[in-house]
Amino acid sequence: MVRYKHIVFVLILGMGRSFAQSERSSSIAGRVVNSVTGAPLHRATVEITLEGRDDVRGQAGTEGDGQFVLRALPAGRYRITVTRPGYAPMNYGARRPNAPGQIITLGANENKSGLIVRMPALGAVRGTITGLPVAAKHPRVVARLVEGTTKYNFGRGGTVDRSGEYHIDGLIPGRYRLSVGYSAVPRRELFPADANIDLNRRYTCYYPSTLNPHEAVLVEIKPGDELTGFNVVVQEPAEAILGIHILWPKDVAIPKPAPGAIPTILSLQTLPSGTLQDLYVGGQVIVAGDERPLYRNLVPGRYILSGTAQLQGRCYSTREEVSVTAGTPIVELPLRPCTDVRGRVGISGASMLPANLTVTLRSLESAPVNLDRSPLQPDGSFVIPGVPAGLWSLTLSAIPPAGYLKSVMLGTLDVLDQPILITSATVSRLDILIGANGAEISGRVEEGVATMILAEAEDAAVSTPGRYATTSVDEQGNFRLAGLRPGAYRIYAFEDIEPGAWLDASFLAEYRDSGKAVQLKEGPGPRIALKAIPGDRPPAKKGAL
Amino acid sequence: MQRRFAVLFLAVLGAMAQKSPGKLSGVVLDAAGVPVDDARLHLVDQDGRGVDLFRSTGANGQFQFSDVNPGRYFMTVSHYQYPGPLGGPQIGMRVEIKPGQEMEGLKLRFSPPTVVSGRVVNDEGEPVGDCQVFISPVAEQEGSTSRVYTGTTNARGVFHIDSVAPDRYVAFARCNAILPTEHLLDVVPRSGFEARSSWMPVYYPDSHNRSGALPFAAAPGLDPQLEFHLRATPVNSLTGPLTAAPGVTWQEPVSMEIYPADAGPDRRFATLYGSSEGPAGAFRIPMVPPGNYRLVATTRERNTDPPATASFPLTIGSSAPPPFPIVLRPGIPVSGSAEDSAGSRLLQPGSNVSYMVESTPAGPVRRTVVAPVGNITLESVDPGSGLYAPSADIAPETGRFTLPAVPIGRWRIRCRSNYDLSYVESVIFDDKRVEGAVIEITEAPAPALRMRFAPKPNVNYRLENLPAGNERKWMVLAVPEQPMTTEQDDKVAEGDPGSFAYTSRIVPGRYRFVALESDFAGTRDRAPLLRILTPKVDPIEVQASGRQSVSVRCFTKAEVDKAIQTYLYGDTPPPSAP
Repeated sequence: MVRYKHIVFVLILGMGRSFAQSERSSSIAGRVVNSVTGAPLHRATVEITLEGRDDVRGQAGTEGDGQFVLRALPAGRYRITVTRPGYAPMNYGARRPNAPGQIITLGANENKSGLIVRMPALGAVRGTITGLPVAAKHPRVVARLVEGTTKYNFGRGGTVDRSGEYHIDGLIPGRYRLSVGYSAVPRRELFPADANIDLNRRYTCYYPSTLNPHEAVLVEIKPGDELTGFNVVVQEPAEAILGIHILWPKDVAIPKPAPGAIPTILSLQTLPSGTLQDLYVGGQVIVAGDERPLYRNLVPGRYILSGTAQLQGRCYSTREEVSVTAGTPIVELPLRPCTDVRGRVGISGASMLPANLTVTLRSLESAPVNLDRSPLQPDGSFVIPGVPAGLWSLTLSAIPPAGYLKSVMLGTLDVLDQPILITSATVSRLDILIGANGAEISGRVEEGVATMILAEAEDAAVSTPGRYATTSVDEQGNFRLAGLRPGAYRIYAFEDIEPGAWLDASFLAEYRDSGKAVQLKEGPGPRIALKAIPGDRPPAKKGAL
Repeated sequence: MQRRFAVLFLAVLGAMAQKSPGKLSGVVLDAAGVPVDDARLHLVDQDGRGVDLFRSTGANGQFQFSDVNPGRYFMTVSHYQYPGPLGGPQIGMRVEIKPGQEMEGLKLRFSPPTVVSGRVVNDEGEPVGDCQVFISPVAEQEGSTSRVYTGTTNARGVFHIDSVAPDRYVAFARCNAILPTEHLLDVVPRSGFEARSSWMPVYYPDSHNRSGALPFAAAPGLDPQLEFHLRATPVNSLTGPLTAAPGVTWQEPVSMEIYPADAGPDRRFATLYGSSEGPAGAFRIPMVPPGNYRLVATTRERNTDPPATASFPLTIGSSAPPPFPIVLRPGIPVSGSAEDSAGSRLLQPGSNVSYMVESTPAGPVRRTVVAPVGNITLESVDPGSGLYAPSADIAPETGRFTLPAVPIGRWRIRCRSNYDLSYVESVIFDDKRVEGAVIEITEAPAPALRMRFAPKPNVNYRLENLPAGNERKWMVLAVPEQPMTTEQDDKVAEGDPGSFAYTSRIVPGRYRFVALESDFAGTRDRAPLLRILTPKVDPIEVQASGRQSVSVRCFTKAEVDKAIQTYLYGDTPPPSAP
């Protein structure tokens, strides 16, 4: 006799993405308040999502006293998110914005109440910019969020008005690097006569007055802050001139473009590396066949020059690491054909590769080429044609939920979790192995209240995000992590932690003893008990990236 | 011989001295004394036109006119960041260049720019960010260039609009934030939840209708510091099928908008836009608050065919209306004829014929070109409606015309006659005389339209209170009290200095007459000036026939400037008046 539960389960799957209308007899009620003053927040949007189903949602607004009720809910596991203009979005159960929240388990005929969501008010910063050169155009101030060592793209900007004042609002509480950027045409007298100059030059200076992003003093925004007096005194950088000479391939004829037609171009990126990594320099375009060296004025330091062009329907690329110092060195960049990367995907622990698996290479050096989704042949082999020289990161899509990336080898080089360097000399094959049965670990936080569970792979020699996994807990403190690569791990339960904080190598060192060491093999793992680590992260050191 | 030569020589020298050009130079500064880049200087002669010497300042604010013939000029200085009162140039002054004179070192200073700032708060006194605030001059004339300024509120609900022309305005705020409402747990489409509540757009300070808007003045030193109060309102989506009357097809997306029924010429910022999916699909206009609206839909094909349209009033309540259809119908042709009466001679055989010689490969060919005697346009009676009816030319000799496609609705007729001595005396539609030249098109076929022309009367203008020793040219401006069926420029006469009376033929009707100096009034948009001056004179009725004499009050530049100051600042003097 088939049990009722199983029939319902099959029906849900069978109807594709429909949502079974089971009995709706439960509800969740609570209150939304300002995280600092405790004042109730009216007209906040409370959204409830069924766990694992992004498209099954409900919504309610808060009343004048901050109260909300989510009615007519079926039993299940849910997440709740609250948003409101003027405040940072918060997940229920999280201590800070952008952190995952707590899962709520709801039974049939259950009316849960008393949930409290504390929302931090957004902050603002203002100040005056002085020292802008007379020829500066389009000055713009940007505040960029710094969290752990993750390079965040979240930033808010503002224009600089006639009297040099700026004002940026809508800032989520956190630490920011403040910078002012402006465009200026470089001074002609720095360059050799008749030089082909890159006129598209954007300069950046950091608060309070430095060209080095590492020396920037971070601005701390607390909820509802309206900070004033954050003035930036602009410094003009010392210029070092670099000449770039593209060596076009001799065996390829480059036709002159017809009048009005778009000429063939080479797209050149100049990427600061090492200490200058965070500096924005920008790319430029060189018309195919142009033999003149192109001159750029740059802050002295190390750079990676990489360029891509499509000549006669084939991809050509070039890549060199240069050190820019005083004087005017000329760097020669020979264009060579792009590489066709061949490889094969295998799976261990299952007989067949999952359907719809694709291999994607994503450029870590802003190459202007899309290399998405190369599909696999039935035997798992693939070719990604025309890959320009550079650093790439590999992603596999449609790995089954319990599966994990077991190994990636470029010939004999282990490139699992590493950026993959492809050059015109690369002939090795990319061998990718998926493990069908990832390691799994579950448990409960027995002491204290945790908002985030962190699993750190012990062999994480370099701080790469891929070697950490996180999840949240439910009201009983239960948690579960799946699809992990087998190996030695240390599991931590944090009461409150900044997302990405663990990527700073020195951070986890302080909490090592509070984590539990486990050895994980493929398949279900042990059930462990954890103790929550209290408090939050100490403030970052000045200039931490 | 020598003496004659000497006399000739002296005469030549004298003539040269008369004509030796002068120089004019100086610098343009802002209110703080900083030189202004890209200020435009314009030198016009006594007629308000003709000379057209024009310079811009560079980064150092300097300007120079080096080849100026001696004479009297009016110089204006304008800059887009320093607009002048009512949209004209901020600085206007008379200069006289004597022969060979070098006027150097002029310092021209702009007043501080006018700022309109304020706050938008909700019914709980909390600031509302990301709201759009629009301001537009209070009595915007139909057809004058629109000067709408806009700003956006920041997170503290504050907006700041810079470089506004000093004038009186009405303001409107619209915030598109979606306010939360209850949606029970269910599968949600990718586009998210349907918006059911938002902020009601308001005219300052808190009126839903244009009629309740409170005008305010903005001028240097006079920032009105507007505070808007918002209330929440339910909003609904309007949906339904978009269908075509027989014979109508389209490919480009149909333009669809609804606007408050009383919006008037500034309906632009109160308009809500909708979208349609594909040919003969469905339409959707999201987030519509309750109110009385007019819906206008038009096809927008890239060819020159007249559009198919739909236009009807719509009342929306608080709950979602059921789907309703929009049917796009083609325009209806309206034919008619112009007729002469009472001595009008609009239609003269052979009058509009001219010849043109054209070179062709076969040799020069003479072509006969027959120009129309006039042109008929229709304006929608619904104020600010986006509906458009293509115009028609009036054929010479027969006077016939055909308006090819007039959408259903009410229209006011406007006629431009190429023969200056006639005007439209009456309009007859469906054999009935029409009041105010407004006709209603309901269905095809449309009845015949007849336009009767009569000769314009002769009017003599007597300028009153001319300043003593007047040496300037004056223009007489006639501002009609009723909409004009026959197009007529507001300038009806212009005369030489010293003469007290001018004459012209104008369309009969009720007018307010005003005389202004040509050099100062000739180069700018006069409509805002007239708006301020006409209340100071009494209306006069110009009869249809017989010679008439009309008194016209003169306003010198100084009097106009004072009238503008009073309009902006009231009777109290402005703060830190220059």
